[in-house]
Amino acid sequence: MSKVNFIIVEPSFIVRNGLVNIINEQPNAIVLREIEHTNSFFDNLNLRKVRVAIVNATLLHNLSIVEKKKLIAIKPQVFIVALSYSDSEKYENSEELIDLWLKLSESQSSVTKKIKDIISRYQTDSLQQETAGLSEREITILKDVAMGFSSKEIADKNFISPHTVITHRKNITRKLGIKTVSGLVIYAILNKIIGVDELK
Amino acid sequence: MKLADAVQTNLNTLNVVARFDIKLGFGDKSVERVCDEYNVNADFFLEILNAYNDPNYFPQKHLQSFSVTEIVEYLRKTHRSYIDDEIPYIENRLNQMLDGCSNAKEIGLVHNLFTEYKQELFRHLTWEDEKIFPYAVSIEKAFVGGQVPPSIKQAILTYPMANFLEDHDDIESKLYDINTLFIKYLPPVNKQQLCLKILKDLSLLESDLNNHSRIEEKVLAPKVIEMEKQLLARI
Repeated sequence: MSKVNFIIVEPSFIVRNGLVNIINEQPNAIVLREIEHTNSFFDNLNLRKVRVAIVNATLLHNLSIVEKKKLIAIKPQVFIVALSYSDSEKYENSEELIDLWLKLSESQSSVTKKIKDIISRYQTDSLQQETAGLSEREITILKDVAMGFSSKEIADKNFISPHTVITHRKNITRKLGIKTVSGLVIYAILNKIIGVDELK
Repeated sequence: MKLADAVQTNLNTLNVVARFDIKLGFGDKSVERVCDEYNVNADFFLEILNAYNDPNYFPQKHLQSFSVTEIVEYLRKTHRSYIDDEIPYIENRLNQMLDGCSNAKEIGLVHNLFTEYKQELFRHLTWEDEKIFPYAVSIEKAFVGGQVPPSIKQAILTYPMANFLEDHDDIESKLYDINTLFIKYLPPVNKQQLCLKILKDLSLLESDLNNHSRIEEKVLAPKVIEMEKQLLARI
């Protein structure tokens, strides 16, 4: 089972370390990066498969408009938790940016529950990805196969050799447990890889 | 060996027993005895049972002890059982399952796949019934009669049995896919028990068809190929 990756952006060493400990205690989570300020935040978000970012609320608030937009753009992949030092802290128009508030004053059970909820949410996501298990390339090939293209045509379309196409097809069949083109068509429709009207 | 013991080692062989028109309730009688009573060639019967029990079984000894006509007669009966019983039976159950199913659209896709398979299978069976079997029987006739008419010579040269082996495709993959789709990818059906029965039926049919293909490839074809060789040598 894959782990849910966290990144922590928090200037205080004590608070940061505390968070790292809480998260690393969970069986299916790991903190990939701890950073003190938001300067290298985006690089880290893009580089790693970060699922959850816990960010100091003041730092979040002080992001430029461009940076906020950038963050909103990658939001579908990353869950943003705002870490607030005060109980009353609130920012205007923050709903778009922030998925969840976490306060320093919260009790142990409340904090642990929030962390666990986030993990289980993404754990099921990654589980589904694992069961499908197809790479992006394989999904492209599967789509072409399902739409009725021959291996030769698929090779030309994707600028790869027919031999590579055959290897991909073998791997798709092995991973999915489906041997025939008709079976793959149904799989592709069920998983919305192709629409019914796209069929040749 | 007792027939009951042979059958109970692998219940799939019950299909074979039925195709030889042997009725159940054979008590402790030996295979030979039952075959005698039903006027079935015991060597051939055992050959078929062996082919069902062991995928790697390759007959050698008994090749001459039963005729191509006998094999073909059995194979034709098997084809009939697929066309008249087994496929319609599964089809009916699929229809029943689809009836009132809340995921009818998705399940319908698999129903279509089964229909596709059925058509492919029937085409395949008809091709064998109309082309391959008559050819095999005519080769045997020429072989036994000692005469090689020009038409037979021509037939051997145009489409020998070895070509049949090459063209004999594995069409059972679709059945396998239907099972995979139900088990892994399709949304649940309302009539789950019925679905389980269908899955078992499909998997039994798949293995029965594989055994059937093996008899064609390992019992019928080698015998015909041997006769072709000897016939050509005579000319």
